[in-house]
Amino acid sequence: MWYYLGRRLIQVPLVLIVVSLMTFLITRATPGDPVQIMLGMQTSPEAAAAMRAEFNLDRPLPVQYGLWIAKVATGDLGRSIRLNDTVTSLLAERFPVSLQLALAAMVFALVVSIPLGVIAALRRNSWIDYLCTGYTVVGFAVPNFGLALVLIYVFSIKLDWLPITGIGSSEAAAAGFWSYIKPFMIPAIALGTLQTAMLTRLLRSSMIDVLSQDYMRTARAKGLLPGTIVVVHALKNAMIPFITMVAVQFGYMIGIQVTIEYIFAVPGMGSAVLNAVVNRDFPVIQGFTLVISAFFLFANITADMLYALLDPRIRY
Amino acid sequence: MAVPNRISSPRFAGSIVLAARQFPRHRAAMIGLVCLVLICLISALAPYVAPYDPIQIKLSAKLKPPSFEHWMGTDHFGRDVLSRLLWGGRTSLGVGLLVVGFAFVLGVPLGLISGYFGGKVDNLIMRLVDALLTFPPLLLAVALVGLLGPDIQNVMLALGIVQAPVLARMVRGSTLAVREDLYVMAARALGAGPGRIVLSHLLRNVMSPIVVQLTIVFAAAVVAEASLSFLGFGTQPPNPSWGRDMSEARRFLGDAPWMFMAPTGAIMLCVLSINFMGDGLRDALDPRAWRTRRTVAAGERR
Amino acid sequence: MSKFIRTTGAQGITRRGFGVGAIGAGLLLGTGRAPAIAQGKRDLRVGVWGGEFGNLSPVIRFDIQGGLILYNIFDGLVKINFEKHTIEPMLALEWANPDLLTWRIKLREGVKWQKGYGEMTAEDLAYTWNFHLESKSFQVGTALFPIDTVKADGKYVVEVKTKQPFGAFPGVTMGYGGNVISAKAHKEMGNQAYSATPVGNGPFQIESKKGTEITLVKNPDYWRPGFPKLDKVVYRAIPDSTTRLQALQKGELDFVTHPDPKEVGAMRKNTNFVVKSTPGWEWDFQQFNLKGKPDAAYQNKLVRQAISYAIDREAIVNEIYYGEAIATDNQIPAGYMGYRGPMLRYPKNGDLKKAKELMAQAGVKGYEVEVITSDKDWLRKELELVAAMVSQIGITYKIKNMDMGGYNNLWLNQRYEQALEDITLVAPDPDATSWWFLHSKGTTSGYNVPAMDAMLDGARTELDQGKRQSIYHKIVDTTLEECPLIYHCNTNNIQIYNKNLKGFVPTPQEYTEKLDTVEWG
Repeated sequence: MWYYLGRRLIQVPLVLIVVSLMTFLITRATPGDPVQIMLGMQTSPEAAAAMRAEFNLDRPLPVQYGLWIAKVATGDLGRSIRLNDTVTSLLAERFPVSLQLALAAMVFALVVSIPLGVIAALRRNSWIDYLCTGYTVVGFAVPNFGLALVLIYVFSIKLDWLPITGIGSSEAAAAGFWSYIKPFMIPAIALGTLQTAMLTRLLRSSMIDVLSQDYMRTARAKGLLPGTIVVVHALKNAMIPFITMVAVQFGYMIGIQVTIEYIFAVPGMGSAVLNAVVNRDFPVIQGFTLVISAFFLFANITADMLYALLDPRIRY
Repeated sequence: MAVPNRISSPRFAGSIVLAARQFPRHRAAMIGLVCLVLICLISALAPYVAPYDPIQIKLSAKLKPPSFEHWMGTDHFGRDVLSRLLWGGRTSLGVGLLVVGFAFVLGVPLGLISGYFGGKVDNLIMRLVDALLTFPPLLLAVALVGLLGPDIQNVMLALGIVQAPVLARMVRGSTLAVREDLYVMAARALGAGPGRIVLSHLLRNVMSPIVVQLTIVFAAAVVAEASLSFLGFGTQPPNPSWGRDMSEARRFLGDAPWMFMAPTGAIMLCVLSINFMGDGLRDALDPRAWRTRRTVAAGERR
Repeated sequence: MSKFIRTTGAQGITRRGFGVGAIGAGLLLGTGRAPAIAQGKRDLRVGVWGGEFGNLSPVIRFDIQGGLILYNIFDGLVKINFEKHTIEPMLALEWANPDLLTWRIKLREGVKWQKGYGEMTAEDLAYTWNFHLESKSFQVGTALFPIDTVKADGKYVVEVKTKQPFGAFPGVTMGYGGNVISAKAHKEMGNQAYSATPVGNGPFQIESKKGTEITLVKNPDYWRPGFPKLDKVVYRAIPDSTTRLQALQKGELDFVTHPDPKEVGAMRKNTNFVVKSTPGWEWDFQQFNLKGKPDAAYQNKLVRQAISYAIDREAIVNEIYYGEAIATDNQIPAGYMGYRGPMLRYPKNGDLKKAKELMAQAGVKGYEVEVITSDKDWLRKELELVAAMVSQIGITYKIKNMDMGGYNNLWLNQRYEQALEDITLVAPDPDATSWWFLHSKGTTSGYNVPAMDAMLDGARTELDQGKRQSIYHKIVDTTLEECPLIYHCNTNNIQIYNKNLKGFVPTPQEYTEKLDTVEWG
C-alpha cells in the first residue's frame, strides 16, 4: 500500500504541471492586458513598458512559463499585478478562510446527514424516510445562492438570529469564539446543503446495502446483536464509502464557493481567483489555481488511502 | 472456462426491454419524466406559447403582481415574467442539453479509449482528465467565457468541458471492468477487431451508468448556467435566462417576490424532475438482479 | 490637463464605489502612542464596495478602492473647495509662478510624518516627484507630464520647471499628483513595503490589514490639532450592495458607501439612518469608435444626434438611479468653470420624432451594432434600457457584457464599435472633462478633429481664465453638435450611515473624502 501511496504522490506534481500549463495557456490566450487594466487610459507608454518588464510580460511565452515554474520550485509564487502584494501572502490570508468555510459547511453536512441517513435506512419507507428523501432531493435542486438569499431573509433579516457579514473580521475574532463562529453559519448551511443531500443519500443506501448483507442477517439470527449494536456494526462498514466521499467533497468545496463568497463578502479563494481572472492578474490566477488543485488532489489521495485503511478487503 | 455460444452481453441482454418495463413502476421517476418532457415542450414552443414579448420594455407596467393579464406578474422593466420564464427555459434547458451533448462527445470516447487500451494511453488521458477535474469548475467557465466572449455557446462549451472529465472517468472505470469479460475475450478470440469490440460490446455495457450520469450532468448544467448568469457571465441581456432573472430579482425580493420565485421554482422543478428520472433509470437499468448475475459470472471466470 | 479615473468595477461583479485597497502585512515600525479604543464610541466600521484592497502608496497606481484609504492616510498639497471650485492650500501654503515655466511651492512647516519619521520637508516633495518621473509611474502621463525638473530650494520651498506653460498646474499637478511620500521611510522600507504599509502625514495611520479589512488608527502626530475625531476606522470590503446595506441595517456596519440607489428612498424614511446624496463628478456616456469601420452608420454625425435624441435621459435617471442622478448631455458639470446652464439641451425625455427625422435625413433606416460595456452592474442595466430606447428608431444594440479584462482590451485598443462607460473626474478643472475624451491623442473614441485638438491644447496653456472659459464653451457646443460622445447623466455619490454620526462632509469626489471630521454625537 505504501507503494501505491508513493505512486499517487509522485503523480501529484505531474498533474499540477498540467494544470498550471492549462491555466497559463488559457489565461494568456484570453484577450486583455493586465498592465493596461492597471494603468488605465491616461498613462504613458513608458509607464506601461516599465510595468511589463517588471512582471516579465514582455518576454516570449515559453520563457515566461519557464521563469514562473522555476520560481515556484523555490516557493516564490510571484507578485500580484493588481494588488502589489506577494501571491504567497495573499494565499496566507485567503486560504485559511476558505478552509474554515469548507469545514463549517462539512460539519453542518455531517451533523445532518449522519443521523438522517442512518434513521432513514433503519426505518425504510416510513415518514422519516420520505422526509429524508424529500430533503435530499430539495438539497440537490436548489442552487446554493438561491438558498443563501432565502436563508438570509429568514434567519438574518426576519428573525435576526444570525449576522450576514463578518467572516474573518477582526471584530468578530476579538469578541470571542462564539461571535467568530456566528457569521459562518448561514454561508455554511447554504454551501453545505448540496453535500448534505449527497452524503445522506450515500449513507442511506450504504446502510441498506450493509444491513441486508448475509453476515448481518446471520448475526441477527444468532441473537447476538440487538438493535443498537447492529446499527453500530453496520454503520462502521457503511461509513467506508461515506468517509471517502466526505474527503473528496471537502477537496471539491473550495472550488465551488464563489457565489457564496460573493453574497456574504467572504474573503476566500474563490472570489480572489474570480477577481484575478476578470482583471487578468496572471500571477494570482496561476498561483491560486495551483493551490486549489493541489488541495483537491490531496483530498482525493486521502480519500483513497482512507478507503484502503478502513476496508480490509481493499488492497492496492 | 465456459464459453458462451453467442457473442452478446449477458449484462445488457434484453435489459432495455426490462428497463422499459421496470421504469414505470418507479412512480416518482415517471412523474419526473412527464414533468420534464412537459417543461421541455413548453419551453421549446415558447415563441408560440408565450403571451408577451419577453424583451419588450414597458416601464408603465413595471412590478405588477400576478394578475389575469400577467399570470406571474411583471418585472422591473415591465416585462411579463411568465414569458421570460418560458423563453428563459429555452435558454437554460437548451444549455443543459447541449452541455450533455458536449460532455458526452468529449468524455465518452476519451474514457473508452483510455479504459480499453490501458497502459501509457490510459495514463496520459487520465492525467489530463485529473488536471481538468482539479480545476475549479466555475473559474474554468469564467476564464473560457472571458476568452471566447460572452456568448451562450461559449458558456455551453465551458460547462461541457467541465463535466466531460467526470464522464470520462466513469466510462473508463466501466470499460476497465468490462474489458476483461468473457465475451470480449471470446469476441477477440473469434477475430473481431478492436473497433468493433469497443463500439458494440463495451459501449452497450457502459451505457447504463453513463445514462444516469448524464442526467446528473444535465441538472448540474442547468444550475451552473444559473450560477454563471447570477455572477454576470452567462446569458447576455436582454435575453432571459433563469439565472440572470434570479440575480436581477434579488433587489426586488421585498417588493416583487414573484420575480424571484418564478425562475427559482422553475430551476428546482427541472432539477427535481431530472433527479427523479435519473433515479428511476438507475434502478431500472441496474437492479440488484443484474448485480448478482455479474458477480456470479465473474466468479465463474476464476 | 484632465485627470480622471475610470471607476473600475474591478471586483468582478461590483457596484461602483470604493473598495478599499489594503496591502498589509503589518510592518509596523514603531507604533508610537497607540491609542486605546473603546472609551465611549470612537471607532467606525465602514462598508465599502469592491472585493479587494490594492496598493496604498501614492507612487504606484492605486485603485479607487485604494484611494479611499490613501486619502485618509495622506494629506495632499492642496485640497479642493467644492463650493467655489477652487484649489486651497493644505500642505502647500502658497505657490507662485514667477515666470511662464517656473513654479515655486512653499510647504507648510511642522507637518510630521507618521510613526516617527520626522518632519515633512521640500526634500520629500522633490523625492516624490522625482521618483514618479524616474520610475515612469502612472502619474507621468497624467499629472506630472509638464514637469521638467524638480528641486528643493531650502527646507520648505520647491522649485519646479515645466516644459511648457501650464495653467492648470495647481489643480492638476499639485492636486492630483499632490500626495507626498516620506523620503526617509520610503528609502528605508523599499517601494513594495511602502505600498503595503505606507507612512503618511494624514489624520489616520495604518494599523493592520487582513483579507478584505483595513484598520486605521488615529495619527497622534497629526498636524491639525483636534483631528481626527475618531480613534479607529475599520474598512470592510463587501462587494454586494444588498449585503452591504443589510449589514448596515443590522448594525454590523456604521457607514456604507455606494448603496443600491433603489434602497435610498426607503432608507431616507428610516429615522435610524442618514442618507447623503451628492451630485458627483461622474457621468455615464456612450462612446463611438470613430476609427472603426468607415462605412459604419454611426460615423454619420446625424445618426449620432438621432441617438442622442432617442435617449430618454429622465427615464435613465429614474429607472436606473431612482432619482439619484441628474440628466445631462454635456461634459461639464455644474460648478465647474466653463459650465453654462441649462444642463440639458437635448430634451430630457428625448424626442423620437426628431430622432426619426434625423435618421431619415442621414438616409439610414436602421442598423445593428455591437455595444460593449464592462462588469459594472448599473451600466449593464442602463445599457439594457438604452437598447430598448434606440430600438424605437430602428437601431439594434447587440449587447456584449464583458468582464473588466475583456472590456479594457477592446475599449483601450479601439476594437469596439460602440460602448457604454462611466467616468470619474479627479480635478475641478474643465480640462479634466474634455481633453482625454476629445483630443485625438487621448481619446479612446478615435475622434480626430484638428480644430478640436487646437481648442483643447489652447485651453490648457491659456492662463487667462476668461479666455479659457469661452474656449470651453465652444468645446461643449462642438461636442453637442458632433456627438462623438453622448452623455446621459451625472450620478450622485450616496452614503448612508448611522444617525448618531456627525460631521461627515460629503463631496462630489468620493474617493478623496476624509473621515477626520466624523465623530459620534
